[in-house]
Amino acid sequence: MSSVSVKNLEVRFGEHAVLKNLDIDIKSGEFLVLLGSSGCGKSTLLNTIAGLIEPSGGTISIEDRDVTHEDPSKRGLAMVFQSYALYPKMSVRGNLGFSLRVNRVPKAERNKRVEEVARFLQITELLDRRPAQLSGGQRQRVAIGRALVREAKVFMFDEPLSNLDAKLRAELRVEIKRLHRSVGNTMIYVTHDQVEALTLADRIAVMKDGIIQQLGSPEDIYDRPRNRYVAGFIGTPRMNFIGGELLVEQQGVPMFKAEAFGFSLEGYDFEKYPTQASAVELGIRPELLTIVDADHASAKVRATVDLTEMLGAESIIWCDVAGQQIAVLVQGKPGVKPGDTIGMAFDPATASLFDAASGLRL
Amino acid sequence: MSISERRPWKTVSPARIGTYAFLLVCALFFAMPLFIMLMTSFKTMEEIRSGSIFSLPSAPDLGAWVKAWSAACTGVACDGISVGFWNSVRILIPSVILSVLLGAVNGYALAHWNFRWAGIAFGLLMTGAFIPHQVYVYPLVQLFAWSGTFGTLAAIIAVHVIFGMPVMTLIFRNYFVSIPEEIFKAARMDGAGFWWVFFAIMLPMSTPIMIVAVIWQVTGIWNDFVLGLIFAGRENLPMTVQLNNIVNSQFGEREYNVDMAATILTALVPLVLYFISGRWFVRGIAAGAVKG
Repeated sequence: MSSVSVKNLEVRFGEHAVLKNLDIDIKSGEFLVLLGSSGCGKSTLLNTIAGLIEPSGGTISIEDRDVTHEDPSKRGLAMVFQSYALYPKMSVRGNLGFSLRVNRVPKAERNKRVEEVARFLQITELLDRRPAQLSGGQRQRVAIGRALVREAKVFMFDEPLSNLDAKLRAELRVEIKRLHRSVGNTMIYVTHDQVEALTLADRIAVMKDGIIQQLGSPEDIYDRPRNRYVAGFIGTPRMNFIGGELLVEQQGVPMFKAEAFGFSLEGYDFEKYPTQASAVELGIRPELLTIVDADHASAKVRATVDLTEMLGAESIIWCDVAGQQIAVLVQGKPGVKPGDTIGMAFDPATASLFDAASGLRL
Repeated sequence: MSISERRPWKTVSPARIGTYAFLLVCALFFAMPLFIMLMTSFKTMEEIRSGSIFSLPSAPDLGAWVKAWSAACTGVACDGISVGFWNSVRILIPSVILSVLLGAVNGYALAHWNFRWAGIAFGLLMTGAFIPHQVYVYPLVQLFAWSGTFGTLAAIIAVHVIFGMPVMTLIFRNYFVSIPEEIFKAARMDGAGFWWVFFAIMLPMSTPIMIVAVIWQVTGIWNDFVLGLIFAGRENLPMTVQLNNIVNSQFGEREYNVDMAATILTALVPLVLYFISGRWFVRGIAAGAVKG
């Protein structure tokens, strides 16, 4: 059963269409992450599903019920905001119980539910404090608590960790994952942080310019990016791109040919087997390159070391390959020094080929 | 050069003396009339006629104050300015409560509910704020006369509420705009509608601006003369109008001490309000300026 289903959605702000013909189906119990840089429409999509923005076309259904024009509070959703949006003049108890108060739940039951949620989130001792007296992490927990109290079917998170420092962010990320496992609700999570997306998501929707570029599991998105944008967006250091030409011969395997070098693409899993030559870009992740001797048999490319960065557990080696900059991620210390000539080896099966004109995966 | 040497205010320099001299002159300029009024109000007419206006009263006498409050003639009646005081209170309290509340609701609606024509509505309201009130007097008189409410307490209250609306709406709107939209959205997700959000979330957060609005309206309405004179009717003339009647009644000798006492009594309400809340007033204006 699909939990949230969006069909043909269009959102306009004046003349400008922020979302165009957008379709997405979110499965029940799924953790879906909307990922993209700012202005890509991910928050607009979330707010539209929530009912805080009126769409100019299309439909939104939640648990097979059309809610396109329903009031936000009637949709059975709960939302956690980036700034937590706690009500500053109410105690934590008041914040947690506000939705129940609005819906005229009797006081005794209200208190019971608030206490339960507080115990679950381990914030019982904070119940009588004001939001201003809480730390960032505690506020975050109260904001989540507010969603839990409502027993919503779908939880939505709008960049909930962006305001926190790196250490706390890592802690709460784990906590959100644990929360998902223990309550099992459908969750929609908006972020621009790819680490959050890759670690939390069952599926990621990478968005750009109001269009979902790719929807798939974190592995899918990372290993088989559907276009040049997704490939470049996910992964640090960024995927290496080398411009060149795809040569197709009558017999034998297709070849990749750049100005100064070329190699066979044996083992590469084409989306559609090429029949003619075309301009392409080859993408290869820095950790999939291995450094070998310059004249080793497996060396596909020769390179000059430009710069090395030691990160502790791993190192980045920046190389120059016929005028193009290529990063190699190796475990441990760099092992080479600037000026060295090295060879690079990799398995073509792990690379990605993109059409130079359309940017689509080949 | 060390930091302590650079503190200019520690040393006596010509610039510093000049600054203080200027401040002193300004202070005297504003304090002198008040001083003369207070001194005169405590003197008997005998002493006023014989002495300098700057001299202290030889034997402070409260007679003028008592007369101003309860026996001075405001035209035909001689019941003192107390009648006007209570009239002003009756006008003030409902006018302030209604105009502040309506301004708050208006400002909140404009700031957080993106209804159709919101911009135009706000623009029209602001235009109203900049058109001189005199322009509205004749149409309003006609309107009240036609509805049979001319010269009643309700009429003058309605006039104050209407004329207070643009400024009240403006300051509340600017304040509410500074409240993060996410709080509003969170309340909407929690199921709160227009009034729930207003009373449970927005109103409790608006204490500082509420104080500014109340001070603004209390001073404005208390000091009003023209609107009270035109719309309140003979029975409800506010204190300012009564004061004018006392000062300008021309029977017999001019009782300067009574006039002064009546004037101070009339100015007392805004004065007390400023003393209590001056701190808040400045803070509220500054807050609005930065955030709005």
